[in-house]
Amino acid sequence: MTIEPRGRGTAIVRLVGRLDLISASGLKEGVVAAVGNGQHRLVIDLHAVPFIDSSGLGALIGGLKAARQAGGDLRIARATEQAAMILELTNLNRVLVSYGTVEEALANF
Amino acid sequence: MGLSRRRWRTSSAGVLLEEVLVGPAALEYLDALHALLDRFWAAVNGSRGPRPLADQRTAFITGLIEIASNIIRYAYPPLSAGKIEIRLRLHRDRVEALLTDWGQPFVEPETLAPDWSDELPESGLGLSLARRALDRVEYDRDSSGRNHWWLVKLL
Repeated sequence: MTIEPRGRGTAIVRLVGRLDLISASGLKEGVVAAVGNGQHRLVIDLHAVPFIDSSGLGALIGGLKAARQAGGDLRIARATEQAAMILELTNLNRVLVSYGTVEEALANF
Repeated sequence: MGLSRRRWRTSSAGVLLEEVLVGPAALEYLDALHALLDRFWAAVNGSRGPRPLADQRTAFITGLIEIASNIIRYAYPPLSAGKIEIRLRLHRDRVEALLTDWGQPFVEPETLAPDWSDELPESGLGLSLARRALDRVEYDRDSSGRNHWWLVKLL
């Protein structure tokens, strides 16, 4: 996971590999730390994440809550087919807004 | 698909292909399971059997990983060396997974199917997600104290 600051409290979080029971807690901790550092408008780039499970989804929701509590938001960008499917099956696509590109997600903050 | 509640555990009728993975119920098992799925789909592609569509494969993997993860997390006490076995099977009309563990009985949480959009839950989504992704999710415990799960995605 890499966090790329973009100024004015905005950052891009880039993930590589599966977001699952093994890696979910790392994402949650990373996002909470970023929010604590003043980066409360976050875009999670899912381009290189081939698979997300419910633990990964839980970490994204946890990150969303942390960002909102700080007055910011968390968006996701470039979700793969599997990520889009799991968001739809859980109805969480209504709260975790997905954008086609990272730039689109950033432009909407 | 017309199998009775318990027959599915023992029936191997109509199996066109099978891949099996046995190992410790630990996080590393998930890596091995993804590798097993890759081998299974490669074998399916090379077989004369039906070819599941991409979204059927994705739904099958998604549901299977949820149930396997639940077994790894909850079937055995922490740090105990429990075992998990998974069989992946291709039939004419379905792909299925048979999961076995020797841990404690599965007890379904009372708060099933939470209203996800209202509460923004961070955990407890796994079983409901598996049920939405798959066509059948059956659980049974046998007289020898083994837990069995039968997961089906129809083709």
